[in-house]
Amino acid sequence: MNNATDIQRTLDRLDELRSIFVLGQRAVPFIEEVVLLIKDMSPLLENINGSLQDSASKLPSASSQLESVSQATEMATTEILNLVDLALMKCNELGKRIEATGAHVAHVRGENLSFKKVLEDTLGLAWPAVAAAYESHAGVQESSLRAMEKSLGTQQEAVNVLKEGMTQIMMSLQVQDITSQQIASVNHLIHTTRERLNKLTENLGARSVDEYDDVNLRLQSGATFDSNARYDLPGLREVTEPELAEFDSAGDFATMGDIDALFANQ
Amino acid sequence: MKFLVVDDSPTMRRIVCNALMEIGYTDLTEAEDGQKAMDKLTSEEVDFVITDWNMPVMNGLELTRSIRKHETLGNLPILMVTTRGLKEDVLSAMQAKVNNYVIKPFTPDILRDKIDMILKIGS
Repeated sequence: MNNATDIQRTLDRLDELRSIFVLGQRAVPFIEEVVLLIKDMSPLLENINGSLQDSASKLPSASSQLESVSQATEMATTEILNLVDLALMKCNELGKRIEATGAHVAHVRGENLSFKKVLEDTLGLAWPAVAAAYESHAGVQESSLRAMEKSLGTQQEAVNVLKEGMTQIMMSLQVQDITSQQIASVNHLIHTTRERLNKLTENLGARSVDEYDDVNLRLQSGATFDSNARYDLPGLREVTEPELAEFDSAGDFATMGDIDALFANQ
Repeated sequence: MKFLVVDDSPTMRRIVCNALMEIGYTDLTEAEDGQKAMDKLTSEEVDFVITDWNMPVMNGLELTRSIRKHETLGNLPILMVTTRGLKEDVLSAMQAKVNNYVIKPFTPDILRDKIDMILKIGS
């Protein structure tokens, strides 16, 4: 009885084994296909890996170029600021000269009146005889003084316009700080992308991208930036009725009106 | 009145200083980050601080907190002038106890209004 059971068990095992072989036989073509697919994919993966390494190796150069742009704009801004400072200084000098000349004109007018008084007092009864000639002379002089005052006024107006323009140029140069922060933000992204590509290529079994570098990333250590920095005309973000209830909604830009209302309530 | 202008960008420090001179404030001193600003504040008599936010070593927010914690400098007026224009940024600055906030770009008039506002409230 025991022998019959054992034989039956053995036959069952053999059946199971046969099933496994049959399954194996059926699976072999599939496995072959998978192997062939992997063989086909291998060059593709190598291509991908090559592309990743190529892209990653170009990133330091892109970063370096961006850094150069930032440095160049900083230098240009400094040069413009120097010129603006010089122009403002000259405008101020010119303004002072115009003011001094205006004061001189007023002084001459005052002197003329004093002189007239001296003549009247000195000549006494004889004054009416020379008064007409004096008034004619004084009239010509007054006309010249008025023309001079008018010219000074025009000059002062031009100086004021120039000063205002120079101040506006100076204020517009804040764009340099804003764009350099945006560039720093892009550089940070490049740095992060490069690190991730580096990890990816390492996982694909290739050498680290760093080993291919001949240019180091020139991202300054501790560089600080605002990725949302943007250049609007000053005061453009003004609103008439700030809605403080919505003030803390994340991701929204604050207006000058928002800020004024918020700090006024402090 | 002596102003301390804190910004890591030399261009911005110059622009802020020029704007201050334009509106009549000529006693100015500068620092390029929060730490250097604290050094100046503890060694020089300063009446008003204008600071950027994004700076290396110690940023404007940390500088504000350091000033507020300081036993003698705690009440110093602080105006933050920054590119950070998000509402949550303004709230963070307010929580750090800046006296007012300006988003770049600004004009001398905006700067004067903000300074006047702070001084008026302070007095």
